[in-house]
Amino acid sequence: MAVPSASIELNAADVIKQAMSENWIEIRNLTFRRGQRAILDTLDFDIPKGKITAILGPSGCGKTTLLRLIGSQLRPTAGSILIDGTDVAQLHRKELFKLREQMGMLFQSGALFTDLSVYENVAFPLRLHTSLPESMIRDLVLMKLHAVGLRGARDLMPAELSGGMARRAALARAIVLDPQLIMYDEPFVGQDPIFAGVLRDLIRRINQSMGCTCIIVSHDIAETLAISDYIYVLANGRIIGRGTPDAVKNSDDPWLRQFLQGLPDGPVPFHYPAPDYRQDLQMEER
Amino acid sequence: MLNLLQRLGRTGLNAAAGFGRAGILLWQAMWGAPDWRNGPKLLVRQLHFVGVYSLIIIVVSGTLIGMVLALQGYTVLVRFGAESALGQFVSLTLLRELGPVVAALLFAGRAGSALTAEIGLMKATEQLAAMDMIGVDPLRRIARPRLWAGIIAMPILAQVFNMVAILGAVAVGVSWLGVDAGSFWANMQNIVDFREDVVNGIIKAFAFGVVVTWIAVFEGFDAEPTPEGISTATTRTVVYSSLAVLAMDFLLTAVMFGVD
Repeated sequence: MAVPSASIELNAADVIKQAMSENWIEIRNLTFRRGQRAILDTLDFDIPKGKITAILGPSGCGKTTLLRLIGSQLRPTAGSILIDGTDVAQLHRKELFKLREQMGMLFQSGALFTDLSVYENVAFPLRLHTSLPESMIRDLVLMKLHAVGLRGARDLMPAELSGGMARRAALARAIVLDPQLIMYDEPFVGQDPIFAGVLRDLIRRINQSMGCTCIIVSHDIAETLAISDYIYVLANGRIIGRGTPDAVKNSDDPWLRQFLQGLPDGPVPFHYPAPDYRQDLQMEER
Repeated sequence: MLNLLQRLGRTGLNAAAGFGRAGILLWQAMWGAPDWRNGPKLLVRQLHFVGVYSLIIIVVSGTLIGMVLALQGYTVLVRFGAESALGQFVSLTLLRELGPVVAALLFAGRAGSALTAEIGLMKATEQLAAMDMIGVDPLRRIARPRLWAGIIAMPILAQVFNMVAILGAVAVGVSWLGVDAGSFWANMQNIVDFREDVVNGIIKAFAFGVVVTWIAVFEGFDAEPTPEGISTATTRTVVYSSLAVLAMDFLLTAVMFGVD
């Protein structure tokens, strides 16, 4: 049976597009300002498909802002963010919500809906974006809750969960639609070593089993280096280091060394900019 | 002087920007096809939250205000031997003015502040951002049912207020002070015009419902996601709603009952 030529061309174009776009996200000249202050300044980097990419940096350096920009909850002042070849800033509201169905995000606080039980929180995206029968929704929710170890906590309300459990429940909700991109905002903050280890393993397992692209934004060096395939280090709104975990660990860059070794003083000064100490204490006058 | 002008200009610009943001919120929340699948369920839930939960304060306040109104009215009218006019005095005062206005002020204090605090907390705990990332528009899911619930509940609450206030007035005027029940009800029936008094009162209550709920929802979405920010937004809801209700009441009264 003859195959229509248009179909062949379309398939060939798809194959070429897939082969070319090894990066799921391409960020070009991205700048974001709040008033006069540049939070992110002409960033250029790529997020490879199917890998775990970490964005490390100190508190307040714009990591969460970067995630919000990728999710298009914020609009860049300049530059572009291409997700699978689509510039997210150019999308209309409806197209954007469609794109977000392919994204999952684990918020720093978990962000579970407080008026819904754990089960209903996880079922929420399914009920909204699919027309699956209730029995199938139940199976999917229980499978995701089982994956994060909370199948037995399905009837609890968010207020009854510990911080670690809330984050795991939120993770189940983030992956319930099997997204192609999962973004983790400071997943290890405030977690005890057991829960941090559990989360680390979950992130790795989810990445391997679902083949999704993962972005972890964190300042927790040890946990993040342990599971990432590639690392970007962000400071003062710019990328100051990039590479595999080993390359970043062995870097001679003074800024990277200060950050990775947790040194109190260095390129990032200990003191907030202030007038001369002696002058401030009025030593000369005395 | 220049500083004062600058500050004045900045305040004016901020106010204009605030009005603009509130207008965009209302447009984006209310415009578009209704969500028949989830909308009715969310609306009923919000009607319960803003309407049913406001009933106690409306009923108690309405009864007490009706009782006070009857007592004050009686002490004045009895001097002229016109205590039989108590029914018309109470009914016109309530239907035209006190019913919609006091109910709206109570609604702003009870439901308006609760709406702002709830939405502000959802913002602070990233629930709105999570909804956005799941692909659900928070303006449609959160703002729209709340706005409709306020708009529907407010006129009903105002009528409940009127009803219990009249009953409170009957309790004091007829049962306690001895005004003749027949003349109380007959005078009320004679003087109250359905179109002029009842419908205008309902229109006022509807307008107050729109304004109070709009302010409450907007302040929640616009709140700084901090404890202080939510507290400020809640206070602003009550203050702005109360002022808006009183200002609108004057305008509506001038249009509806203005001197020819």
